[in-house]
Amino acid sequence: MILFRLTLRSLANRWITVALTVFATALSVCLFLGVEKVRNGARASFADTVAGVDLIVGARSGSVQLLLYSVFRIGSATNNITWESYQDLGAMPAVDWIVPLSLGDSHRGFRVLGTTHEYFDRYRFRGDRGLTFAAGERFDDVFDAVLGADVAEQLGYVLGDEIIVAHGIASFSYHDDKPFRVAGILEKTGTPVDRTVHVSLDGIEAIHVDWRSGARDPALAVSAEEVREMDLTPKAVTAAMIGVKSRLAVFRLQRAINEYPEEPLLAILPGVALQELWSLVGVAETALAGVSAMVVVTALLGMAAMILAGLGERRREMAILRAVGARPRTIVVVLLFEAFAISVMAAIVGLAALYAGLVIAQPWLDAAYGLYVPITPPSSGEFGILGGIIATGTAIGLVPAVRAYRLSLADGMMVTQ
Amino acid sequence: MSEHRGEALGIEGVRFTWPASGFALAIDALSIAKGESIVLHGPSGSGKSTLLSLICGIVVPDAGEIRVMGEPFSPLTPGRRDRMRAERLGVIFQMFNLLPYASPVDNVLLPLSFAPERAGRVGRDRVGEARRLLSALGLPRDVIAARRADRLSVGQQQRVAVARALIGRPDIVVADEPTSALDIDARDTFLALMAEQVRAAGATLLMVSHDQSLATRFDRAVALGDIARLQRGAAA
Repeated sequence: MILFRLTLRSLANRWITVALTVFATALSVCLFLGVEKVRNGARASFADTVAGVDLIVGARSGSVQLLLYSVFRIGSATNNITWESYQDLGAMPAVDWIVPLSLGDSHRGFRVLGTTHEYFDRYRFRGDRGLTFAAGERFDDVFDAVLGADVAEQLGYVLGDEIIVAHGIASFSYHDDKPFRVAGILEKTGTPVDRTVHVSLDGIEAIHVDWRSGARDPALAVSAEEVREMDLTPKAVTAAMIGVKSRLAVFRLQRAINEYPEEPLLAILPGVALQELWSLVGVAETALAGVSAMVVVTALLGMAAMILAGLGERRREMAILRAVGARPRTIVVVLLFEAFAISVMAAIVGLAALYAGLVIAQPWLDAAYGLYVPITPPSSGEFGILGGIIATGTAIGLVPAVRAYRLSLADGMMVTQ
Repeated sequence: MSEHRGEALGIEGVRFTWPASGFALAIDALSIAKGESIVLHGPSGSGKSTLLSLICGIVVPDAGEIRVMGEPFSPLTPGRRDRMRAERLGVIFQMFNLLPYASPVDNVLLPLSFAPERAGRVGRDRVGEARRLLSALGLPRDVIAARRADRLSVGQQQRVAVARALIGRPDIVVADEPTSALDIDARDTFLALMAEQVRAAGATLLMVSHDQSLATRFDRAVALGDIARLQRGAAA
């Protein structure tokens, strides 16, 4: 035991080089664990984009495509659901609630979503968080709009501002005869809701009553005032979110919708589709983990180089140990213990740095990127990683240890320095 | 081993050649009695270091036999030789004897990790025994309590090395020019203290030195040139 104590004192004796090595390795440990945390946080945030919704229904296509346009507002639907089918879905006995999603228009790069009041009650993210208003309230009038946080921030809108919706996505024809008014602005959620302009289904219908085949038909022109008097029941919606009365009924309902005879429909479980999508995006995440693992290995090799470089000056120490009876094997143990001790210190310092960094960065990550990284005690997986790093560090310590073994066999007790 | 009763160290017909340099040493016979104190002198390059490596079991003779306390060193495995060195020998070098970052007491205790028998003789209060030896060697209390051995003067460090060689009463103390870094006054005091403590521990003292004037302080003085034959390089 005195030998291990003396090894620690020997390390303390070389504290500047040792501290630098510990610091470098600790940084790499911190980076590696940080990437893991952010990775898990990103995956969880991603999987939590939609919660509380049991099924998403759209025209028949691929499940990832349906998820992309209905939830992430990426791409477009190939087809719509007719209003009759939508009504039928809502009337199915297993269905507790249904919220329509009507997509297709945009405002300066942000998608416009036509929906109902219930959307603001039903949409849930990150566990069970609901949408809350930073200012104003839900749309009430036909031409009211509710902005996501990013839309309001990036375009500098405040309540009461007028906005003009463009027909289609990235198009140059505008519904400029029927401007909307900002009625509400939502709090930041870290989900695609932030980048969405919400209006009522009536609003969507109203701006399209005098349009035929993608262009305004002057013969049909209806003013913003006149349109309020018209029947604004839509003919179709793009997709719908459904909640069921009993979770047990989800799969049966999904099948029933997929086999709906009147129209080809597709119902997906958002959780499953999110997983499927993540497995596509997840390659980058794996690459990131790979890179940070390489950084750890680099730092550990640096440690081995540090110990190795110090051996020359320490031949005297080895010779003294040999003279008092140490076996060459003992020299190996001493050097392995040294690598082990440095790795343990690096793991502890790295872990401490990680949590310090998390405490500082967590609110910012959440606010700026909607990336929520929970501060929880290290998981068993993270302890596994730390253990792996310590084991690898000790194993890499074999390189200087074997070198010292050779030196001490050659030197014996005679080093004249 | 009865024929070697009373013998601490025996060398018979030893031949050894360093594989790398071809430097060869041959000693026909040397026997040192238990409790004897002996000085081997010879100029540098006379094979002193090689002889010490052989006596300490760091290297094994190509031919012949080395016995420590009647037991032949050579046929043992390397591990057993290391163990035997730890148990039976205390070694003092010219200088740089100590781990600089360890305290004097820790330096003295170091051999006990490798020599359970010596540790057993010391008993439970190892630190107390280390302190006792250090103070018997004339080191003042504050020096004994120092945190690091490299704060000590060279003379003080050499005394710590003697205490380390003596702790747990090994059979033989081997000293390699322990006074070469000391001035004459310090040298005389050091030699007197070392001899006294080695005697008190009941050990045999083998010192190697180039300084012939020390001969009178030992029971016996042997010139290395008289017992050893050297061969330098290539020919071997």
